[in-house]
Amino acid sequence: MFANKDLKNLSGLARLEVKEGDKEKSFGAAQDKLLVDLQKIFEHFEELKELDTTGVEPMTGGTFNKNVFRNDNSDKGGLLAETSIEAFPEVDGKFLKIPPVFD
Amino acid sequence: MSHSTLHDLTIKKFNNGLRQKEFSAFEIAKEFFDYINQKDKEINAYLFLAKDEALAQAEKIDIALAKGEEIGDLTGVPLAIKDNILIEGQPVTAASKILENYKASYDATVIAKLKNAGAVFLGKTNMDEFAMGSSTENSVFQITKNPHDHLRVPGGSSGGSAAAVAANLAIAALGSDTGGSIRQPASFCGVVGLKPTYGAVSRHGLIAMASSLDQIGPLTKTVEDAAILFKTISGLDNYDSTTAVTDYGDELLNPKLENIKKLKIGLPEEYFISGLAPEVSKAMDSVIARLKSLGIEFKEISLPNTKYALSCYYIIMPAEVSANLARFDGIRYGWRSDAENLLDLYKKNRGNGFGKEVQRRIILGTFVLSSGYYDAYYSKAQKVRRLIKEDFDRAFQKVDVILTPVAPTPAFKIGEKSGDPLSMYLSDIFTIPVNLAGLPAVSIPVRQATSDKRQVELPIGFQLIGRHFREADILGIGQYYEKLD
Repeated sequence: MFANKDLKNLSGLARLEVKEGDKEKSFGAAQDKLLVDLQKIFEHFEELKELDTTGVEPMTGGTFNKNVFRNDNSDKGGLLAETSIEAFPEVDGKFLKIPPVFD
Repeated sequence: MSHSTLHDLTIKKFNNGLRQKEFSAFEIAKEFFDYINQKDKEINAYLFLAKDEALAQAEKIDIALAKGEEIGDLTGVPLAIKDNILIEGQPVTAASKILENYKASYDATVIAKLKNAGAVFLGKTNMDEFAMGSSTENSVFQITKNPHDHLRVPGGSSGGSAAAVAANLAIAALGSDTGGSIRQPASFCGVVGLKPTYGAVSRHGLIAMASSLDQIGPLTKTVEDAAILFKTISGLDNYDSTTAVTDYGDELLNPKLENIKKLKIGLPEEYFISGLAPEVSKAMDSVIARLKSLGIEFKEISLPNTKYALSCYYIIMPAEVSANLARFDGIRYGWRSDAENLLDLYKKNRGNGFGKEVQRRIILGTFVLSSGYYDAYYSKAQKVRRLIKEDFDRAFQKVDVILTPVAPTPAFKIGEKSGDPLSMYLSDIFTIPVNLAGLPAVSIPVRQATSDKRQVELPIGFQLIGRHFREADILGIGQYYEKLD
């Protein structure tokens, strides 16, 4: 059975804050509901077990067509520096701010 | 000019009017903004209007036309664009808090093609956050109403685009379809919606949800309009390696009845189930009878693995979602929270920036891809996907086109399914297999008798599924269906 500890582990791997301590407060009943909803969905997946897929090759894309690659150069040019800087959440002059990477 | 002129306009009629100088592109664009201003308060189809840009663009077109420049099929046509498609310099949010205040830094390929064709963009339409949902209720900004009944959903995830076209707030629109997100809202709102063949239309500049399933397509008032828009946006693109060289000739816009009559249509038993709403069932009977009157032959077929499509889809799609949405971390763009360190920042940005359905799918995807579960879920689903595709391959040896309902019911009420994800997922059971198999499919409104005033008021759509790159077959049948009395 998919349990709360699995949910905690997965949300950590997915870099999503679903904090245990906040269960009652900020995330409210939604936290419990998230677990119950996921359990229901996994239960639905069980039906796939009855289907025999021995010897079937996995289908990995939208069609069996081959991807078409272009030469590794851009005819558009890259994004302009100003455009990227404008989109950046925290900017100080020409410096882009992020929190410390190392503790 | 009156609002009734707007209500009547299709791409084709607009084009005729422009050629005959009945109106200018500017006049119509302005009229649309006036009407949107008045009417969209009720519908909430638009998230953002690009009034200045659109009017300037329309004016430019009028000047060019006055100088004798040629008028193309889409010259001056006012369009609505789903808010997960990038238009340079305009906001693009995917209806998510994490992209609030974000502006697109380039044009999607479909937008560049439409700009080339002279189209005018009125604004960006509401949707389920990151296109995840079937009702547009998952937007963090607003709830879009079904123009036919304001207590009901417009469908989703392209609900804003479908509602805009249905409420005459645009002549046509673009949406995206991963598991039914163009066809189901088209059915609920009574408009035409085309999900092209996987690879027919470039997704460069579409905010990706599930890359092996996503396609951009048109939502329009007529099948003919859908063909015009589709022809313009399709084709090979260096920036989407899955696109193919397409060769859609004259048959797309001018199908010949003698060819259409020769097509054989299959009716899959797995889609005409007891769970269908009686009015949907009745509507399908009327469509079949009308198409038979054209001389088209019908045949019963079977797609035996249909029942596994929903589970298959809800494993493959979230797996791709969890990978595609990893890029939204609040570092380079988008919404950023306060945090002590980098890991904390990621978690807070994503925990607060993504809504519940998006989080649910990311967690689902992370689970099915995690070691120990990969074979049991993800790999299994990929095998099932092949079986579903092979069902269609076998069917297309016997028939040319497959006809099904688009959804088991007409539009449901706002709030009816939003608390129960699984029941929401089930509203897409007839559209999902098409994406898994990469096929083209169109949703066309069933023409309901108008003699009886107490007729069903909610629109119902039927779905035509074609062979890979055979949009001409399904749109051809659709164009002749529309012309029937």
